[in-house]
Amino acid sequence: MIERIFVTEAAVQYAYVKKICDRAELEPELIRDDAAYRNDIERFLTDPVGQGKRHLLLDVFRGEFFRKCPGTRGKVCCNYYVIDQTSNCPFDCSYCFLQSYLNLRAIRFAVNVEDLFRELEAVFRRRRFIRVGTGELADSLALEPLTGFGGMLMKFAVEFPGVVLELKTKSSNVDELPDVRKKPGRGVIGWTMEPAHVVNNEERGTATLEERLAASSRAAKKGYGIAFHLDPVVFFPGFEEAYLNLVEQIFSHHEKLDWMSLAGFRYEPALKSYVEERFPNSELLDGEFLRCSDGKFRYLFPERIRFFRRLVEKVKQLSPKTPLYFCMEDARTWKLVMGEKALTDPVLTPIFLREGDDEE
Amino acid sequence: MIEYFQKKHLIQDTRFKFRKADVPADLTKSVRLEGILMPLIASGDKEPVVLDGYRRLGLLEDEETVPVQLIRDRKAALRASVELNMLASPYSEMEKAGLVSSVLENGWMDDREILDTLLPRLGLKGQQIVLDSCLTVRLLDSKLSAVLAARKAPLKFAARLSREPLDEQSVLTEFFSIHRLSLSRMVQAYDLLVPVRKAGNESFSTIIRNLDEENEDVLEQLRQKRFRRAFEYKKQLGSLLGRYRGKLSFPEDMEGEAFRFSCLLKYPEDARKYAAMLREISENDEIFYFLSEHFGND
Repeated sequence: MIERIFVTEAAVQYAYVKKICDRAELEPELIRDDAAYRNDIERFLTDPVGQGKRHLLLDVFRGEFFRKCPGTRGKVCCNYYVIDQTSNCPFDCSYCFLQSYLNLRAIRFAVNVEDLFRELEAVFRRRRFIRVGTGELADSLALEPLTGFGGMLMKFAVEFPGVVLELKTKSSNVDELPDVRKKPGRGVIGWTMEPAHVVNNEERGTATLEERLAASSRAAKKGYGIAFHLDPVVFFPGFEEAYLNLVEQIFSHHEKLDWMSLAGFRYEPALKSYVEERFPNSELLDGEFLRCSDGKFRYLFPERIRFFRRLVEKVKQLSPKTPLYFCMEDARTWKLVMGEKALTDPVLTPIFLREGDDEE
Repeated sequence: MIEYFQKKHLIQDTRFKFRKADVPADLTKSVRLEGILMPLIASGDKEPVVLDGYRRLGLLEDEETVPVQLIRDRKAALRASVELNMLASPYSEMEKAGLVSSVLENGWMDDREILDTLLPRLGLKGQQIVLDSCLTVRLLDSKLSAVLAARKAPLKFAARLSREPLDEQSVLTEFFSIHRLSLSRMVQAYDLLVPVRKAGNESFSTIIRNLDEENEDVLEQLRQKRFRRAFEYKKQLGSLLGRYRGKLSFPEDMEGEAFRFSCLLKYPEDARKYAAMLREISENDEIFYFLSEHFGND
């Protein structure tokens, strides 16, 4: 998966670098900084997005790791916080916004994790409840066999009561994670789930659907809460039955989830050329899309609503207590699909809890 | 160093003729009247090879004398030539692609030198993928290449088209030419044709042959093929609004104030449906929210 490791001059002194290189069994290549990577490596790549995913850049990050998930303009916010310690991902999915979002093609991994833990400790001690994840700009567990970072972070976070840490992944790398039973905080592993047709056609390098489901059962045994994200829901011939079957498969493994999110495929205009050039067999752009108020393209509104209603009904029928929410959809969509009281449904309270008043 | 040579003593090498466009009339006039004022660029010593100035040189007789800036090193001469041309009359994207390909294919510079010194001088990013695009564009059907050059098409679009099989490229050339599409309409047409071809598993020529010849708006026809369901919604909207005909300048006012307030006063249920449907077929969310506020969310 990772073919070359680059280490910046700032990172070279960290012991963590050696640990990662040893695990990867790769000789690190020393470079001045990320700009040197761009200038000396990246611009000579024939497929910078694809090849960059096989390059790991170990660096030191001097800014703040922790921030509020930016959400999207005009859409309902789920009050999620994110930790940006890694950016980019070795998996290569046609629908991934990172292709057009990131300005460095290698996977950038900050090795100064002590700084991160110090920053998080200050935040976690201040709050009674917080839901946080690392899966915004990276897959939380894709590099786990090399870095062990997900496990370290989890071990740290679950010691704080009120902290819910979600590691979001399309891998099956859960076996090295710590046991979190009897811990004051909550560890959740979230999987992005797609029907096998989408996994096979639109994702490269990810675990199969069966592997993800099996991994979720193993994680549950270690005390983890389980979440699934049907995101993005992709329309293709036969997609309705495929997603409904997927929901059945999920709930045949788990009676109740910590949460489940839904989101139709949407894209910024810049993503289109990446899909066309890099995924010639993709069916992602075959549907009919309309440009929405936030500038992103989404499937036609009535078709989204119609299908989400079926999907929600299925989830409610199989697991009424599983909190279900939309990602990147507006209040109108919530209400049309789940009814007028959708946003105030008590089942969502544990995950949408806002605690602006909680800060000491 | 500027020296003067008779035209017949200059070596002309067609591989350096990067300009594809015709000589501009004002340049012809100027050379005929004044001769060559701005020195040509050549490399070498006693038998200089001309790198820049072929169009002007072509307008002179063999005996005439021309000023030449001699630069011994061919790479430096190439760089100087590119800089001068980009300053005086920038190359088109297709000419840039041709120039870069020639430089690489003739071994005048290696990849790294092209990326570091040539592409930035041509106003292109010094990246391998840009260099690859330049090479890919050479695969374009020559007529399509000429059409794209005439419309000043960007390299990226030309590279996309160059991946099409040659028979599809000729169909596109004919289609673009017959309908005299501007660059932006060419891009739109191609963006519509590709998914229609995929959905129907048919060639560009079949799709184009099935367009209504009487209807000159080919883009609208392609849109209808590409966005079938959206057009169905639009049709439904048309039937919903049928009873307002005559009262409004339908459909121009579909998103306008007049209709908005007509609905408010007369048919609230229609207004709600209208707002919901309008949202599907238009980029304008404003009316949806406006009407929702006035009529509640039912």
